[in-house]
Amino acid sequence: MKNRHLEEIIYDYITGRMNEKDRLSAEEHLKACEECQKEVNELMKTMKVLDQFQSPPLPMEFREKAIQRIRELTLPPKPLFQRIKEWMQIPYVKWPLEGLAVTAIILLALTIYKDFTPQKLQEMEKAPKEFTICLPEVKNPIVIETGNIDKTFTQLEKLIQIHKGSLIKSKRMEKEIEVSLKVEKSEEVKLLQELIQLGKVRMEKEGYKNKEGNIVVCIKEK
Amino acid sequence: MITLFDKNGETIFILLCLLIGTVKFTKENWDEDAELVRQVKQGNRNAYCDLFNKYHDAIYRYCYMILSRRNDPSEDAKDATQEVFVKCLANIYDLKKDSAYFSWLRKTAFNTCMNMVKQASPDPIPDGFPAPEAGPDSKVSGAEIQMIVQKALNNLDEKYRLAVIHVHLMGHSYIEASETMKCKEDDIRRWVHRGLIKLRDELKEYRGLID
Repeated sequence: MKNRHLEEIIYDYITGRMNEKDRLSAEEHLKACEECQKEVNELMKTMKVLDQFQSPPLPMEFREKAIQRIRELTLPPKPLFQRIKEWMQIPYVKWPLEGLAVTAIILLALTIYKDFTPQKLQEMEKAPKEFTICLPEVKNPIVIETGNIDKTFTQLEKLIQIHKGSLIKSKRMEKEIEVSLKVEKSEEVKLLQELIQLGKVRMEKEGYKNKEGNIVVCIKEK
Repeated sequence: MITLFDKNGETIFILLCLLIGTVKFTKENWDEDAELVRQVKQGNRNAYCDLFNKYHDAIYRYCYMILSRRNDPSEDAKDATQEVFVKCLANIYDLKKDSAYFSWLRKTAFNTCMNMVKQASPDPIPDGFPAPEAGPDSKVSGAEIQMIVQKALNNLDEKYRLAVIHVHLMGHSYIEASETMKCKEDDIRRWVHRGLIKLRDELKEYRGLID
């Protein structure tokens, strides 16, 4: 710009409609260019004269007449959208629909986040799986609910011995012990009846045996 | 979902979201024009009178400048101003952004004036005022300057005249002027410059004004 005349950007320079870099560059050119200096001066004077051009003042009657005309005008019919908007209008609330949508999304996101926080996922992994022995195989394992699972387990072992049965497998978990046992068919009914002595028993008529024909019992803490 | 509301912190957070999403208590959001337009849309005629009182002077001045080539620009500008406000009221529901009322009004004013210019048989450029014989020592009065400037403006090409009116006399930005006149920003910049140069040359005829 240093060697180029300002030309079309003269007006921007005079009225300050340019950025700092362009202004400095224009000033640098102006220092060395008499032609542009002359043009800036003349245009500033022209603008000063132009600024004196005014419209004649409006008479007061004009304002009164115009206001009168506006008051006599019939207002255009309200479109449907406007009526819906007014119906939904709540004082001081700018975007009721948008606000509700945003809130719904935030609530949804929070709900999902709460169910799948890393802590929760860890807890789910750590938590003992119920019926690890029998669940895939047994439809209705016998459940004994008791205050002390270890004591009940010992009592169950004695019962099995009394009825000449055998303990096939047992698994101790935090709050339950799963047991599979085998007993003679003749002793089975008696054993099942005596289970009542061990605690609160939940038992179905069938479905408490696994594939091998062993009875599956879950001793659970109350 | 119910468990969400068990903890106070979460409830407060949700209420805050509701507030941020929906409420406009701040002043900058509560634009005066937008509020008046909203009331007009609800059928409040007095709100429209307030808008008229606020802007009729500016619109009249704008119309006067654009119609300055006509025989009686003052009367034509009054008619145009009334028509602009009547038109804008009739089409108030077309205005989507309530806060942009004034720029909408200005555009309507420009179109109304241009239609008036086009529809009517072209007026001869008013040159009823004699060019003052300004000698080297004579001073030019304010009324004479007014006439001289009006004549000089009217002698410009239409695009130069409109560009000078919008950008210099009305103080619009290049973008606003280009939107109103439906042309490029660079064209406006060029037309303003050329218009001013021509005005300078014309005004130079009257000694003491530019020298």
